[in-house]
Amino acid sequence: MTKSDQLSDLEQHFESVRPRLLAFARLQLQDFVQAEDLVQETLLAAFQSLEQFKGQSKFETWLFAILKHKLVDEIRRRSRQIVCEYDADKIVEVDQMFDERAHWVSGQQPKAWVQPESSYLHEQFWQVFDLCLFHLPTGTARVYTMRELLGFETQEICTSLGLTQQNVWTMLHRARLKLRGCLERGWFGQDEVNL
Amino acid sequence: MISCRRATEQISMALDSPLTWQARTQLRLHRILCPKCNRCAKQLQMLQRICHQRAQTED
Repeated sequence: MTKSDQLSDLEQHFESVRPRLLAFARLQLQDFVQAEDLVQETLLAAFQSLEQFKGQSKFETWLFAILKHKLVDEIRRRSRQIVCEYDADKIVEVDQMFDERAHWVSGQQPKAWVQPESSYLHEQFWQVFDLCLFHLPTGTARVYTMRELLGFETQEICTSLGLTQQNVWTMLHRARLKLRGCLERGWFGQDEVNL
Repeated sequence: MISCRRATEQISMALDSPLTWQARTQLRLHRILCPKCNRCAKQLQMLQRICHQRAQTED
């Protein structure tokens, strides 16, 4: 493969992954321009350290890892500058999972999951997962992603986003229950639906 | 006994920080008596595990 072949190959790779990187960065930063800048930096950094890509992980996974580190740095740098709206009106959806006595509503009760834990190995599972995540209100999705995918402790999420501990716990609770329901419909309960 | 909604709040909170002895006991009792919340707890724990696995493979 010639040098220019390699380059155009790389360009194609970059272009196919860019929208997903951008969506992820936007979710975390809300600042459109800055998200684009960060993705650009990510691609540049990837290009400059191509020899470090050993090919043991997927190319896209590797790009996401670089972006993730940049996002963590950026979020830490901007600590207290980002103000996260606490959207109380969206609580309604979790409210619908429980009746007036705070018991599970019959249609919302957790069902047995048919897919095994090894689901995380399936690329398709994460597509469903990301779709579910993007359906959450932005603030909720951001808090959840910071906690579970970027590895922040709740205390640091509070400081970064200017939220109280109680806000963060409420948002995580809501995110987890909604994701659980969404994944049950979109992935873990699939066979049941087909029967 | 605590409600299902309260139980799910504590299930979620336990994924972020250790619960107090009292909350842990309440939740344990609720999970013994409520298969739905017990199932919910296992599912949320599993989701956290696989998210962490994903985050690690991306490192």
